[in-house]
Amino acid sequence: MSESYKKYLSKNSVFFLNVKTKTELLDAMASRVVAEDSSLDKSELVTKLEEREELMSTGMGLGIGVPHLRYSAIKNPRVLVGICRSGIQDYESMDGQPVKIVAMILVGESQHQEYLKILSELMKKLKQDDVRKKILSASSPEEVYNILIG
Amino acid sequence: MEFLNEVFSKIAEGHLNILLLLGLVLFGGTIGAKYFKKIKMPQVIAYLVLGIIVGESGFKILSSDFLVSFEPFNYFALGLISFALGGELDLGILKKHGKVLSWVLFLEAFGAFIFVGTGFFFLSSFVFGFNTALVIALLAGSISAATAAAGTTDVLWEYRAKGTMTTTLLGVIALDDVLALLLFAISSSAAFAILGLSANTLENIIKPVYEIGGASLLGWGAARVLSGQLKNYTEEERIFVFTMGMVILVLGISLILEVDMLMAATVMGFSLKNYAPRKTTVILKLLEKFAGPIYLLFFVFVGAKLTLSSMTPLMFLFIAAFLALRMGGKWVGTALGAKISGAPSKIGRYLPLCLFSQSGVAIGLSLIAAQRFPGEIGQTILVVVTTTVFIVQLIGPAFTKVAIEKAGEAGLNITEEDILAGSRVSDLVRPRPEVIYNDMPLSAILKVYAESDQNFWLVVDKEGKYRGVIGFENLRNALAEPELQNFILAEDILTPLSQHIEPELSLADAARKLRQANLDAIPILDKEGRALGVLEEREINQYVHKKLLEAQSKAEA
Repeated sequence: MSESYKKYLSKNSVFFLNVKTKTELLDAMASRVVAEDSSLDKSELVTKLEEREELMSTGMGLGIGVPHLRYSAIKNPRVLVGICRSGIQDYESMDGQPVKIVAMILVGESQHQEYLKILSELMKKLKQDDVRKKILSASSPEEVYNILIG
Repeated sequence: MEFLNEVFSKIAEGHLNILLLLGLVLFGGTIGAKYFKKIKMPQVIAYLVLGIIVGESGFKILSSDFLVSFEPFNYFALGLISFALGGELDLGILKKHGKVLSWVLFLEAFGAFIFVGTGFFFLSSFVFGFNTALVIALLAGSISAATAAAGTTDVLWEYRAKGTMTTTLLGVIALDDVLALLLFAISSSAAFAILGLSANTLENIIKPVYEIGGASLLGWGAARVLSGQLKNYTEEERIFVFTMGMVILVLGISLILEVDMLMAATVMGFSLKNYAPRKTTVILKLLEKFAGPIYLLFFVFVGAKLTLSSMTPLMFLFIAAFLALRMGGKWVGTALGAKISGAPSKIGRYLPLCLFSQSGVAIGLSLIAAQRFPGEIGQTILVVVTTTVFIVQLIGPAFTKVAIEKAGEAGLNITEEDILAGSRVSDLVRPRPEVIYNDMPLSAILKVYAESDQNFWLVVDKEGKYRGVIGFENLRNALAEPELQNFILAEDILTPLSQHIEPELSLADAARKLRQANLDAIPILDKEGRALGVLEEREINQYVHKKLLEAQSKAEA
């Protein structure tokens, strides 16, 4: 069965990042989102993402961060994956480890089911040791994309 | 005063002004009823008082010619009242209360007959000869048994009365005119014999039996035909129009056959209720909505026709005696009937208060008495009855209202709509609203959910500001993804409902809002946007059923 996140993942939405803090990370990823959809307000998007992180960090351990948001301005679900090999120390992960793989999920306010499904499937995929190892040793975003799609 | 009379007579001139008059009557009656309601008086008294003001005893705006031309309308209104009265008589309930009803009915009617008869005999003996006194006593006694249904039922409907006393009362007022007619027939025949006048006794007895028996057959037959027709229709309006048509037909045929038209309409309502109970309920509901103006006009016309004759001090004595003896007889008879049948004490105590009203049947019988026994007998009966009708028409509804309130039966005949309209959202707000904070993880939400009977939860942020609602559907989606149990928060799964209601809103409006938005639950927020709880459709239904059951058990107590 094909996972639903694959529908929303494209080669353009996978990228390497060189950021040191969670704030920089969210800002950089939000810039990518806004670049593809100019109707979005970047500062508002960042604020919303930060508000969600304040409630509870989305650092699920194993070096994975899954910032996610339901947001009325989003029309179709969006999935973005950022790789930060140097790691983000202040992500406040469950296991205290720096976050190196970030999968951001954005959905519209009423897209509950799709939202939970994407989140769950991505988590399952990223929890696999070999997948994470391959992603972190990949040399290009395209390679990361193929690992996730495969 | 002269000037006013001139102005009013100008208004009443010309046939086109009928519309103006009817408009004024409806308008004035409605305003009058509103003020009467403020002083806690039944609306029917307002209509009667307005009638007296504009009628023959007052400014004569409604002339006697005008009132005569509206006679068919009055029949129609009385027919509707009688039909509705019959429709309210439930065979099952009547059977259940059969013993009480029979005893109370017979003893209240005979109580009045014996009290008025005996009293009038002694009183008349001082003035008239033995035979004349005896005849006056018999005639006055038999007429005193009759009770008017119209004014009484209007009060029962206005104050939504329900309970054992109301049920007994409905049965009594529907049937005691039958007893009055029979008593009058027997008394008339006896009177003819006492006075040594030739009279066909058999005809005197058979006629009322024919009037009542024929009316019952006609009413039953009409209900049979109508229920057969109604089976083919489901649209409420069509059912209503068909029924109204049949009521008018029955009234018209009663006039041709010279049977008791009100009895025919009552039996029709009663039979229809037993042949087609659900449809009769629908018809009575629609009747309650649409018949208001008809009843208003009818009672104003009744008031307009009420006149006080010029009286001698002796007549005053007779009138006072008739009022006191009739009330005393009904009281003692009812109390005795209630005691013998083992009825609840409230029936013996308060039901007699509802039996004071008299109208059409009493006046009709007094007119027959005046016709059959011209001279001092007929004149005495006519003046006494028409004057006391004037008085009891006005005081009867007020006493009925007091009785149903004292018996604790006012406001118990309530529908779902009444409860919804009379309640507010605040009635359902829990004293300490339980909320879910938006940073609560799924595992904690499930614990809260399992420990409560709520199906929907209000989600708020740290400051208590409303964020959204979580219901079983939200949890179901989350539970389908076991990976997420410890990872997602209330904020991630809530439904951010934009609609909300305020606690001051009526429950009827809240239920409508839920239906229109196709929601199972809606947040309750105060004017400052603070979360007060969630109103679930399920809770509204539970609340309404609880209130209905409370009213029912009170009514049956």
